[in-house]
Amino acid sequence: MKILVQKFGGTSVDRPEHRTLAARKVIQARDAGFSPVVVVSAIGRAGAPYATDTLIKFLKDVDPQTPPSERELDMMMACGEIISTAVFAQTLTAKGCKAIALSGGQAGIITDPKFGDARISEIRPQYILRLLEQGYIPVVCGFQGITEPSGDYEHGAITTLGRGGSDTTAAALGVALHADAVEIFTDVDGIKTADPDLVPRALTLDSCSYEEVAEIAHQGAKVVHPRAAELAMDHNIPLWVKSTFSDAPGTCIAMRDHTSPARLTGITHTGRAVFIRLEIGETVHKQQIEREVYRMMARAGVSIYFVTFSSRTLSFVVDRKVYPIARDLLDGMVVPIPHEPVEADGKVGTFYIFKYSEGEDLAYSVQRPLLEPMERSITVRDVPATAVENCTVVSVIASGHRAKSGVMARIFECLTSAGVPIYQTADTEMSISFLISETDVDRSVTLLHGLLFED
Amino acid sequence: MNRLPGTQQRSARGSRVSFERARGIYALHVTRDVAHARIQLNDTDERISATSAVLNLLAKADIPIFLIKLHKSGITFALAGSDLSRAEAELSRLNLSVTTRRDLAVVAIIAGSMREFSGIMTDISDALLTAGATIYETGDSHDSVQCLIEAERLSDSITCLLETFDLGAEAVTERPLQANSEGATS
Repeated sequence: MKILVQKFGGTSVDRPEHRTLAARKVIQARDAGFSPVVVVSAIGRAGAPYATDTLIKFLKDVDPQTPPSERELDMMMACGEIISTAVFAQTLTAKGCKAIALSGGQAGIITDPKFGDARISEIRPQYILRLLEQGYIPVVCGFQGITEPSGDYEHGAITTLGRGGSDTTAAALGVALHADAVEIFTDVDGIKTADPDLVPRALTLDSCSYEEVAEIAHQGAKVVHPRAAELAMDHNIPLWVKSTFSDAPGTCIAMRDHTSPARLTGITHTGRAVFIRLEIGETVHKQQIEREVYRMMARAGVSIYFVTFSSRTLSFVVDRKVYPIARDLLDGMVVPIPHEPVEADGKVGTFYIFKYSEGEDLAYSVQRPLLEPMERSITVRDVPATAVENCTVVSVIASGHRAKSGVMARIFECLTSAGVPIYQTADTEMSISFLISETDVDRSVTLLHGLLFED
Repeated sequence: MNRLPGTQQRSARGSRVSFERARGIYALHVTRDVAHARIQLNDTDERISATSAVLNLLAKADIPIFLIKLHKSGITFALAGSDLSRAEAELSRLNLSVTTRRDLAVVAIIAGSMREFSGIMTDISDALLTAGATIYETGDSHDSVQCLIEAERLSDSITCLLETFDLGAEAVTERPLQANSEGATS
C-alpha cells in the first residue's frame, strides 16, 4: 500500500469551490494508486466563523473578566478542525469517495498533557491502516490529539499542538504510517525565495533541505511549520509544499546533501522587536551585572535574543509585546556588588542603578535620591539604558555560509549603501540575520532579493 | 448490516511510533580551533564605511568570519584559528586597532524553539561561570545559543552545561568548521 498524507490549510477548505479543488487533489492521488490520508485545518483564517481565532474569542467573550482554562480553550479550538474534517469528508463522499472523518484521538494521536502546546508522544496508526485496507479515505483533524492515563492527568483530554499544528499532524502521520510522502497544500505554489507580497519576482524553489525549510519557517516564512519539517527530517519522510489552486509541481523538501556547496535559499522577515542597550561601563563586575539582568528577565518570563556584549555594554532584543515589562524591570533596577575586602576609601560596595532616557526613567528618578544618603559608604554608578523600538529581523537563509567568505560583506554593503541602519547582526550555520527598523523592511527585503537572487 | 469501519484485519505496518523532539535543551555542539578579533572603530562617522572595508577585505582574502557583532566602537567576529595569522596580516593594511585572541572554542547549546524559553541565558551564564570560562562572544538563534570561550575551559564548561541541562555525554557533538566550499549559489 502506497500511502500519501495530504494536508489542506484553512484557505484550501474555506469555500465550497476551494474544497472541490482540494478534493480533486485527493482523488488524483487515489487514481494514481495512492491510499490518501487527509489532514485538514480549521476552515478559514481569523474572522471566519469556524476559524480558531473566532472560536477562542467566542469562549473569551463569555466573560472577559474570567479567562478560560487552557483545557477548555483546547476543547473549543479543537471544534474548528472537527467541523472542517466532517465537512471535507462529506465533500469527498459527495464526490463518490468512501471517506470517514476522524478526530485526533480517533486517529490514534497521543500527546503529552500540555494544553495549547502539546507534543505528540506517540501515534497508534492501526485504526487508520485498517480503514485504508477497507478502502476508506480517512480525513483527520489537524492540530489536535488526546492524552492517555498516566499519573495525575485525565484520560482522553483533548489537547492542541500549538500554531501550525496541522502541519505537525500531517508530518507525524506520515512518519507513523510510513507514508511515501507528505504533501502540504496551501495557497502558494511552493517555497518562495521571499514573501511574494513584498517581492512579486520571488522565485519558487524546486527543492530544499529540511534544515533550510525549518530555518525559513523559524525566521518568519509561514509555509511549513518548523516542527513538521523537523519531524520529517528526523524520520526522513519526503515533504512537498504545493498549491491547492494550481498544478504547479511545488517544492520538494528532502535530506540535505552535505557535500553540496553553500547555497542561498531565501530572505525572510519576522518579529516586532525592541533593541535595548545597557552602558554598563568597564568594570570587573560586568559579568555579574549581566547575570543579574538575565536573571531578572528570566524571572519575569521575558525571552531575550540577539545578546551582544562588548567590554562596556550589554545589548539584547525583546519582543515588543513584552517590552513594557522589560523596561519596568530595568528602570531603577539596582545591582549591589559588595567589596570584599572593603576598599581603601572605606566604601563597602558599589550599587549599579539602571537609568532609562528622560521620560522613561520614572523608577530611577524616584529611587536614585534614596541612595544619596548611602554614598558615604557605597559608590553608586548609573547604567544608562536606551531602547530602539519598532525593530524587526530580516534574515538571509544561507546554508554553509560560514565556510564561504563574503556573504556578510555583500549584504552589509547592500543595506548600508541604501541608507538602512543595521542595529545588530546574528548568524548561525544556516542564516544571517539583521536587526533593522520596521520602516525599512520592505525596501531591505527587495534590495537583498535583487542582490542575491536576481543579479 | 454494515460492519463498523476499521474493524477488519490488522496490519503489520501498524507498529507504535514515538517521536517529536523534546522541549528545551537537547544537545551541545562543540567547535574547536576558533579565534576572535576585535577591531576598534572610534570615529562614528566612518564606522559604517570602515566596517564595510573590513568585511570586504576579509571577503577578498577568502577568510570566512562568523559571530559578527556590531558595536558602537567597533566590530567583533570569530574565525577559524587557522585563518587568524592571514587575517591579522590583511587587517594590518587598514591601519586600524585590531586585537585578537586565539585558542578559543564555540560551545553551542541547542534547543527546539529556544526563543520560547526564558532563563536559558541565565543557566548558560551560571554554568560557564562555574566552569571558570569567560564568554568572549555570544550568538543566538531560534534553536541555539553559541558561546565563544577559552579552549582550555571547554572540558569543564561541557561538564557544567551537561549537568545544568541534565544531559548525558552522548548529547555532545564535535562540529568542525566547514571546509571552504565552492561558493554561495543563488
